[in-house]
Formats: sequence, C-alpha cells, structure tokens
Amino acid sequence: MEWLLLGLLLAAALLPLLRSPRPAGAQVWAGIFFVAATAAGAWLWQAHLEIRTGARASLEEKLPHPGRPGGYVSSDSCRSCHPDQYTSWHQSYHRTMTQVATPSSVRGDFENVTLRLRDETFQLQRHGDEYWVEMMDPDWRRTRAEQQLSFDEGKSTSPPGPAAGAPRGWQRVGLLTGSHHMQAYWVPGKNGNQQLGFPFTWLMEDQRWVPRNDVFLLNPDAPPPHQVWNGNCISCHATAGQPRPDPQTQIMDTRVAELGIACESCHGPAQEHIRVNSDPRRRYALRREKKPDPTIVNPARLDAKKSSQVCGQCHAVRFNSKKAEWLTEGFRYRPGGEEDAKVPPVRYNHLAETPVLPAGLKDNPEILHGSFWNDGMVRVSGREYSGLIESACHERGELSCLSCHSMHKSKPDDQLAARMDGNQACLQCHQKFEKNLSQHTHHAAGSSGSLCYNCHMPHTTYGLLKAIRSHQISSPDVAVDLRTGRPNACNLCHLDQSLGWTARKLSEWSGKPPVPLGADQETVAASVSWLLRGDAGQRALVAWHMGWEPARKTSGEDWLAPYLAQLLDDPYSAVRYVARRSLQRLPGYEKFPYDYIGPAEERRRAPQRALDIWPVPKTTPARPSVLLEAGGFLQRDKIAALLKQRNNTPLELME
Amino acid sequence: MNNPTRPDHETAVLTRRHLRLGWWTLLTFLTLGLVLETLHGFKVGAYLNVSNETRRLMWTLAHAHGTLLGLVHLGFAFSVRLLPGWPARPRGLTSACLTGAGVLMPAGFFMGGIFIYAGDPGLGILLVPLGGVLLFIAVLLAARATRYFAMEEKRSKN
Repeated sequence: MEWLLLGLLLAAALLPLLRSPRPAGAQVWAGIFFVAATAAGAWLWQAHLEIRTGARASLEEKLPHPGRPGGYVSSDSCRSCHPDQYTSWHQSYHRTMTQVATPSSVRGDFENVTLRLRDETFQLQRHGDEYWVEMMDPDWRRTRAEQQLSFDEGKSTSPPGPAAGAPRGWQRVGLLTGSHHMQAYWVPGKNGNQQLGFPFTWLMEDQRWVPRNDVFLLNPDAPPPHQVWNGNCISCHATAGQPRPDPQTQIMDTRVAELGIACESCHGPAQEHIRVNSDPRRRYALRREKKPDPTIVNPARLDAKKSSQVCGQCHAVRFNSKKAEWLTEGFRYRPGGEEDAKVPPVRYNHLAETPVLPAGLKDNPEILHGSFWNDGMVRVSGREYSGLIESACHERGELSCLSCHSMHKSKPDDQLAARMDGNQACLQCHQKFEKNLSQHTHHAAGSSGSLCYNCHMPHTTYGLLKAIRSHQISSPDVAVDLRTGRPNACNLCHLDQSLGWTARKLSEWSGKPPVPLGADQETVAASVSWLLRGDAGQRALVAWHMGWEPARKTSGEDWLAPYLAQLLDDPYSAVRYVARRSLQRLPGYEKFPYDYIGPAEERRRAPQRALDIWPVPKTTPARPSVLLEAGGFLQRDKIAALLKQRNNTPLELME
Repeated sequence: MNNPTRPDHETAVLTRRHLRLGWWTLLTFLTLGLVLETLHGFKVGAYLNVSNETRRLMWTLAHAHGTLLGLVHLGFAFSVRLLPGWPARPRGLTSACLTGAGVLMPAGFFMGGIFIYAGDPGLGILLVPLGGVLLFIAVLLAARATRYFAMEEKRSKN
C-alpha cells in the first residue's frame, strides 16, 4: 500500500515534467533518475526501518508489555492537554525510575568494559544503540545462587557446581533502574518476559561500576543478590504493574500501564477522563466553572491523609498479605482510595493492631530492624510516608507530603515546592514562632541551628549511600537516643560534644531534669562514641555528618580525619564509601587515594595512610571530648576500648 | 533565449493552470489545517499522543508546505503575466518543476505521517527531497527570469 501510494504520487509529480514543451533528452533522463533514485531510496529506507523495528520488536518481546486493562492509557495521552505538567514530570526522576536501555537512558560505561565478581567475568559492549553483556547464563546463574543459598542454610548437602562449567552467552540489556544516584541493569531470563538483575551497578557520582551488594548497607557476608524485576521492583518502579506468572509453568507475562512512575500512578487510570474530555465544550465549561473534574484524581485536592497515601503507596514499609492476588492483578489501590485499608503500612508500635501481619512478625519485631529504629521511627530512605504517619503534625493536623513537596512546581532533586527548603515549610502552620525564632531555636537567626529542619527532621535515615532527613517530625531527646541508639539532631551537628552536654542544654531549655548518663556519655563526644561503638547504620550516619558542612563548621574539622580514617577499613562497604567521601571533603584529603571496594590488604593499610598525612598542628590544645590530647595526640587506649564495645550485630538496611 | 517571442495563448494557459493549481492547493491545505485543528479540538490520540509525535510533525509540515506552495503557484501565475519576454521552454520547465514540487512536498510529508515507524516517518518522506530539488530548480529558473523585466523596460523606453 505504501509503495503503491509512493508510485502514484511520483507519477503525478513527474507527468507535468514529461509533458512540458519540447521535452529534451536531459529532462527524460532527469525523470528516469528521479524515479530510480526514489525507488532506491525507498528500498534503503524500508530496509533501515525493518532492521530498527525488528531489533526493537525482539527486545520488546522480552520486556514487560506496556498496556493493561483497568482504564490505563499511559502518559502518552496526557501531554496534549497538560503540556506543563507533562514537561515537569518528564524532567523528574520518577519518570526515569525504570527505562528501556537506549543511548538516551543508559549512563553506564559499556565501551568494551570487563568486570569481575568473585569467580565470574562480565564483558560489556555497546553495538550501535544496543547494550550487551557477555556473562554466565542468567537463569543458570540464578539457579546456582539458589543452590548455594540452600547449601549455606543446610537445606541441601551438595554445593553448586563450579562457575567454570557454566553456559555463557551475550545478553542484551533490556531494562534499567534509576537515573539519579545510581543505575542498575536487567537482562532477559528464559521465563517469558522475566528480567533478571545484572550484578553490577553504575554509580553516578563516581562514574564507575560496583557490585550491587556494595551500594547497599548489607551484611558483608551476604551472597550476591539475584533479583527478578517482575516479582519485586515492578510494584513501585512501574505504573500499575501486573507480574502475571503462569500458575503452572511460572512463565512470566508481565504487563504494566507504563514503565517508570507516570501520571496514572498519582492521578489514577485516565481512560474515562480522556474520553469525556475529548469534547471541547466540556473542557471549556469545566475551566469556566473552575470545578474539579470528577473523572480524574488530583492529589492536591484530596485531604491530607488521602493525598499522602498517594505517595505512601510506594514510600512506605508495607506488608502485602494478598501476594497471590497481586501477582495476577497488581495492586488494587487507586489514588484517592484508602491504600492503608488495603495494604496497611507496617507500624512498628502498632503491630498487634494490624490484622494482616503474620504472627512471626508480631512476635518478633526485631525482623523489622532493617527498616525501623526500635522506637518505631523508620530508618531507611524511600519510606517517608512511614515517618509522616507517625508525626503529630500529620495525625492531628494537616501535614501531607504536598505541604512541602510539589511534583510539578519543583526541581527534580528533592521535589521541594518553592520556599520549602527553609523555615517557611514549618512556619506556614507554626506562625507563632516566626517573630521570636531565636527564642525557640536557641540559635542565632540565620545559623544552621535555627533551621527547623535541622532539629526536627535530622538526617537519621539512611539510603543511597548517604544520610537523609527523617520524615517523622520529632524533637531532640537524649532519653530516646539512649533507648534507640538513634543519633540526636544536636550531636549530629555538634559532633564534638557529648550526650551529657546535650542533656544539660535540653534540660536548661525545657526546665526538665537532665537524663542521668554514664561517665563516657558525659565526657566523650557522642559522634565519636557512635562511630566507634555503634552498629553499621549509626557509623554510616555519623560518617556522613562528618562531611556535612554545617557540622564541620560548628564542630571544627581538624580532629575528624582519624575517625573517618578508622572507618576506611570497616567491614561494611557502604560505611567505607560514606567515610571516604567525608574524608575527601577535609583539607589535605581531597585527592586521598582509596578504593572502598579495593583489595582487602590495601583497605587495611588505608587508615594508617590517612593518619600519616593528618595535618594536625603540634600546638593543638587538648580536646578531651574527641579523645585528643595536647599536641594532637590521640587517646589510642581509650579509642581501642570503645572499639572493643562495637555493636557487631549483622545489619541489613532495607532501603 | 533562443525564442524570446511566445504566443499569448500559451501565457494565458499557463496563468490559468497555475491560478487553478494555486487556489485549489490553498483550498486543499487550508482544509487540511481545519482538519488538524479539529483533531486538536477533539484531542484525537492518533494525532496528539506522544507516540504519534512524528505523525503530528509530518502533517503539520504537509499543511505548511502545501499552503505555501499554493501561494507560490499564485505568485508564478502573476510572474508569467508580468514577464512576457520569458522564453517558453524555461518557463514551461519552471511550471512543470513547480507543479511536481507542489505535489511531492506536501504529499510526501502527509504520506510520511500516515505510516510511521516509532520515531521515523514512512516512505513518503523520500518524496520530500525530490520535491525540494524540483522546487529549487523552479525558483532558480523564476529568479533568473526576472532579468526579463529589465529587458522589457529597456525595450519600452526605446
């Protein structure tokens, strides 16, 4: 059909040329040339299109299929009416959470790169617009990992076979996850359109590949992860995903409304909205009357609880008790509905009241310590809703995610609405503090201590290789620190002060008696104590704060290097990474050579190498709280004694 | 230049042909504009959805090129009347090239938007450069023909 139309049009165009007065031979030849050139061009163009569409079709066959029932139409249809919102969403990291691997989405280096992980080798290459990995067969690899786990847990008596005998082959990278801090990649498995994890992650900040385990705060002995995108990531990194494994064969026929977090994730299915609004009279009538359109959900018009649940469908620790239903249907929640009634968030302090939680979880809440501090405050990133719902401002007031964040009028980084990066965020409700802010904060106006966020939303959650602000609004309380081990806001800025100092200050301000403390707690800087004695999560948080500019300004930075150096040989990769980054922010260490996943022997030598170049002047006065004697000598015995008390309980933070 | 004289009848025929072509082309592509506007008004996904961006671009270009080429036809019709010294052969060739371009360019864009392959237009897009070449020849010949103005002026002064 296309060829026929092409021929007809060409004939129609050339006819006048051939019929023009006294057609000369040159004109005839020109006509022939035009016809021949068009035919050749069309043939070449069609061949090019066939190659492109063929390659894309073979890739798409192995990807989650776009389009699903339930009234979803995808963002494809939204731009023509909502160009501004489409543009702001298009710039967001929500959109790029899951993408097909193309030159515009891939950030990792695939130019003939060889990677090694334990006994495995991976060869990465780019062929035109396609990204390929030569590796052990991903399905075989997954089966081997399951056998290894079974053997490690004592369920099986025979270990898996050696990797040397594994089938190998080139795998085309299908999907990728993330585009902001790090990017993970997925290769097709044999089970339908299953996508299996490639065990390396591209770190944006460092522009390098690192094993997947080394970007999370995981038990150092944890085996390499073997993730299946269709059974896990789909729930929050795609819009309205349905995993759909075949009950008999387990072959996946996964489909999504759209890859990434798109318009319908927050506004609900839009088919009906588009159908009724294809009538321009309706659109103009709605605008004239300034009425909300009942065919679509606008989270900004929902009450604080329901609008927050829109974000909370993903940004929460939840327990899905209807896994079988989810596998076939996906989540039943739609924006504007009651998500918490369908898939309740796990509330550490209310486990008994949450009927769907398994008994094991209720009886043994320690299972949740990878997600919560032991007073119920969430400690991992990406679960902000779990913090919000424990905040009095939300429970008793109007605080919602949209009080401070805006999806369409913000920068992509934190998606904070205009002026919400300062005190205005809190003052919009707590206006009484505006006039006498210093009286409330006990810090000079304009100082980092007079920022509401720094005291009430300190960086006590961990994720993405950094500390992130807690979204549970709280106030510093030394008694809570003692119970939970969670660093308090005061000592995360006043790194050189002890818990005793904080307790006295808080007592002075509140009029309540100070919390009784032990000798070390009275004298040793809390940050030093957490860094030496704390668990891996506490160490990562303190290490991050030692690189945080307000804390360095407040506490001085000349004493920080030995403590950060100490963490360069930490058993946890994530702790080493955070310590290295903070150390390199100190004067004299900007170019300190150190690889946080380098050979163990080099890592062991790193703390001494860092100490050797510590530029502490010999005239330094004694600073007992940070275990520094006059002349810049460390109290090594004291440090060793605190190190001996380190909390080595294995920790895995479920960010 | 071999035969500077030409019968008035030929001029009249050419003028009529391009006036007809010009006005009908304008009507066709202004109608297409109305159709495109209607597609906007009713938010037709086949035209406005992001996945149909190529179609939207192709049809917009078809509308723009068709309309402009309609005006060029009208301009040519008036030029023919203003340049009685323009020899028949180059004038005829200009007319033929312009007619060809008037078909190939807008129709090529339009057809390129009927069949689309993700971000690529269909085979029709290949007609556009051919139309472009014909248009270039036509405009070049018409531009060269403007020298007959000077010759006419000199002749009338003498």
